[in-house]
Amino acid sequence: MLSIRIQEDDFDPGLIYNLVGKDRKDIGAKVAFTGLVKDFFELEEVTSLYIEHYHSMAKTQLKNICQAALERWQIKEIHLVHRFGLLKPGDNIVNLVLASHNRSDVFQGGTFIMDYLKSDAPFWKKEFNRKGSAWVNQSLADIQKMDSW
Amino acid sequence: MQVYYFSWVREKVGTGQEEIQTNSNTVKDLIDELSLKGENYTLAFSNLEHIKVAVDQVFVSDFNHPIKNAKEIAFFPPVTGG
Repeated sequence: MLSIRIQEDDFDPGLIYNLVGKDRKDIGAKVAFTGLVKDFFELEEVTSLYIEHYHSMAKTQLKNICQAALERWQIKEIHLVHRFGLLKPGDNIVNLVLASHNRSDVFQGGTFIMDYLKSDAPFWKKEFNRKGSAWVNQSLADIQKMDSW
Repeated sequence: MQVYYFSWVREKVGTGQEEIQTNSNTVKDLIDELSLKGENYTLAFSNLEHIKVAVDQVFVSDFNHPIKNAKEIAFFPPVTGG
């Protein structure tokens, strides 16, 4: 099962986690990742973060990335949510939950999805602080992580 | 075709989307054509090392990629989601 959502609204990571694999008896492992807005990154004292996206392509890219993970590992369920719009430090950005028979598949599959998402899905972040704003630059380390797969 | 701009490319061009009637054969031809439209375009496309392109929602790394039958082209900087 594959569920992908791109939305402006917040989500409840705990609620999503509890629904994944609910009522199934073949799930032996679940892993969850939530990415949040922090108050520092390329700018100091970040007051807000704007996330822009290319909706139709982002949906396709996220689906392609998750499909690649489903083909590579024994994963039963993937639930991915990515937000866009204006967010504050502490807000949720992205949530990923995977379920499978065993831990190795969900750990590796989850890392694979996030590594590809960071460098291959059309989202862009702009940070704001009291002095101004700046678009976040792509990290070389993120590209290397994606290429390592 | 529809041309989309995102992130700082959108800010420099001054719009996020526009309909373009073009005879350009490749991505590079289209960039050259757009750059003649004004200083905002010239500025946005001044360093193509910082520009990524998607043709009909698929990344293309070659600026000589054909666009003859494309419905939408998007220009943007490297992505930073997650």
